Amino acid sequence: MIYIQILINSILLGGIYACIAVGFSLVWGVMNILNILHGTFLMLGGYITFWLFKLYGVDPFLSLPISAIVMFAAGYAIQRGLINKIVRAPMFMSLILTFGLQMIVVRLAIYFFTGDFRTVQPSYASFSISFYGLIIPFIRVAIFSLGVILTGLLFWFMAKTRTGRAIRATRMDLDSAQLMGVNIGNIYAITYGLGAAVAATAGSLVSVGFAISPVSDLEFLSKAFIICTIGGLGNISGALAGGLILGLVENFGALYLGPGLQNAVGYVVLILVLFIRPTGLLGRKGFE
Amino acid sequence: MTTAPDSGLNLLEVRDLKGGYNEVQILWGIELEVKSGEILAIVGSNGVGKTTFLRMLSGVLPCQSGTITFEGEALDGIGPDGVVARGISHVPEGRRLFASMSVEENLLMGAYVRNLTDQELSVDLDRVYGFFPQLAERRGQLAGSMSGGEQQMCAIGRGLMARPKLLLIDELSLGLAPRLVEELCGFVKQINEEGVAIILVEQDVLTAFELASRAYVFESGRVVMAGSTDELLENPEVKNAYLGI
Ligand SMILES: Nc1ncnc2c1ncn2[C@@H]1O[C@H](COP(=O)(O)OP(=O)(O)OP(=O)(O)O)[C@@H](O)[C@H]1O
Ligand SMILES: [Mg+2]
Repeated sequence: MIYIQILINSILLGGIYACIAVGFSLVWGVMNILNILHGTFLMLGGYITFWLFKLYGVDPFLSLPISAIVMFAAGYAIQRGLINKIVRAPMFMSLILTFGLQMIVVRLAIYFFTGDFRTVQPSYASFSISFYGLIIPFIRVAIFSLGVILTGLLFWFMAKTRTGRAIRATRMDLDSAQLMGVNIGNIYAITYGLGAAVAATAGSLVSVGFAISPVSDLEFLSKAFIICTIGGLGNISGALAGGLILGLVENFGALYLGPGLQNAVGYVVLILVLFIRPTGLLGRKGFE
Repeated sequence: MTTAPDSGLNLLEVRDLKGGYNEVQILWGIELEVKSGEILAIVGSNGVGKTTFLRMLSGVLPCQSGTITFEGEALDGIGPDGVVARGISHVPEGRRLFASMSVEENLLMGAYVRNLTDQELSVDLDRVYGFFPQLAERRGQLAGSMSGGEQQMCAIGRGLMARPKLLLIDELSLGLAPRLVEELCGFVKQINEEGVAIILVEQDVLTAFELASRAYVFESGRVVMAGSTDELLENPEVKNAYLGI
């Protein structure tokens, strides 16, 4: 029974992991940017939800679109105003730039929000369904479902819309996309904005079931990095697979090795995957 | 060299166009015009600046100086998206399809700047499938998995999806078997008969001259000869340098 319980927990966790990673994967796959700000967007999304709940009593699930819209705008502006200037430079430049921005934002967040851990506790936080001795917390199921829906929405957007198609075209052949009249600066900014919006929404979801603080961003970032590398960078199904695998590995790792080593197991799997299949399990080149 | 333009009839006028890549100047004052509804050929050896010239027309490469006028209005500073929207589309050298997209998605990318409804799009898709029935059969196939000839059809079809008044085709025949080239030439004629003017850049001078009514010969970034293709075919210099006769 305990195995089934852990399996359920793993899947529920994996869904939210996928959604934590998918924006990172998008930005890396399309623009070749190693986006250190990714975890910061998650953290900020979490705080948007937290403050709206705390100050105005807004239900955390209702604040998801607000997180998405605010952080889309922020992401769009950052890419258009800053990252686009160096996007042709080696990847190292984008790493330094986003790292610098990350430090500024996190310091500001500590200053304004304090370093305390916060979590959103709506009245229904403790509801759960139990049957045959299995316990399924309502909140976890809600977070899982919304995470999967969000990932699915991104998938649909990339596959079916005019802008999604332009993003893929730009990824495949920048020059040719430009000849079609695609404004590359704008498409890059939209891509980065989308990455930020999905990250922020994931952060909002995380703030309901888990505790966050301004420095949680690095934990989110490292999760995203592991998940993308395991699953294969630059495609949405890779993020889903990577998220589920990490969820399983962490939970079963905690069972056998104790909770202290839970996080280390993820890195071990990462290194194993890199040895066996450097492109990741579902990896292809580029975001398709 | 070139005769003075009889303005009004010209769809495109290029005057004293100079430019290149960073510090390297490639084009040294190109003068050229395209009349409405004509097929114009640009020929010349490797590396003389034909592709560079087309890329400047499309606005993906900035010019140092000179003017480009399309339908009486300057094309300065409107960007590649502006150029496509005004009615010039570019079928690039090497086709440059979006390899992991389907044929249909490639065609849709051609109509990107027009921002059409699905219904309008399907009308235009049908028009392109009308020109190239082979593409209709392969609409769901990945563009990168098709043969060279089919890819060239797809690249031309993608260009047509912008509803251009002027279509730039860079190296129509490159790497294709003679039978396919002949077939493609038929398509180009058909497209032209619908009123689309065409600039055809070609290595294969005979093929180009067969299709085009006029031609320009480029040499190291300059126009060294221009005229009707019939005249040029009789020209001893052309015969010697480009036709190997
Ligand atoms: N991206 C670039 N950066 C620097 N120089 C370039 C670039 N592309 C082309 N060139 C140079 O510009 C010159 C003209 O090249 P271009 O491609 O316009 O020639 P072309 O007439 O189209 O030749 P081909 O028949 O081989 O296609 C060449 O000397 C080439 O080396
Ligand atoms: Mg060329």
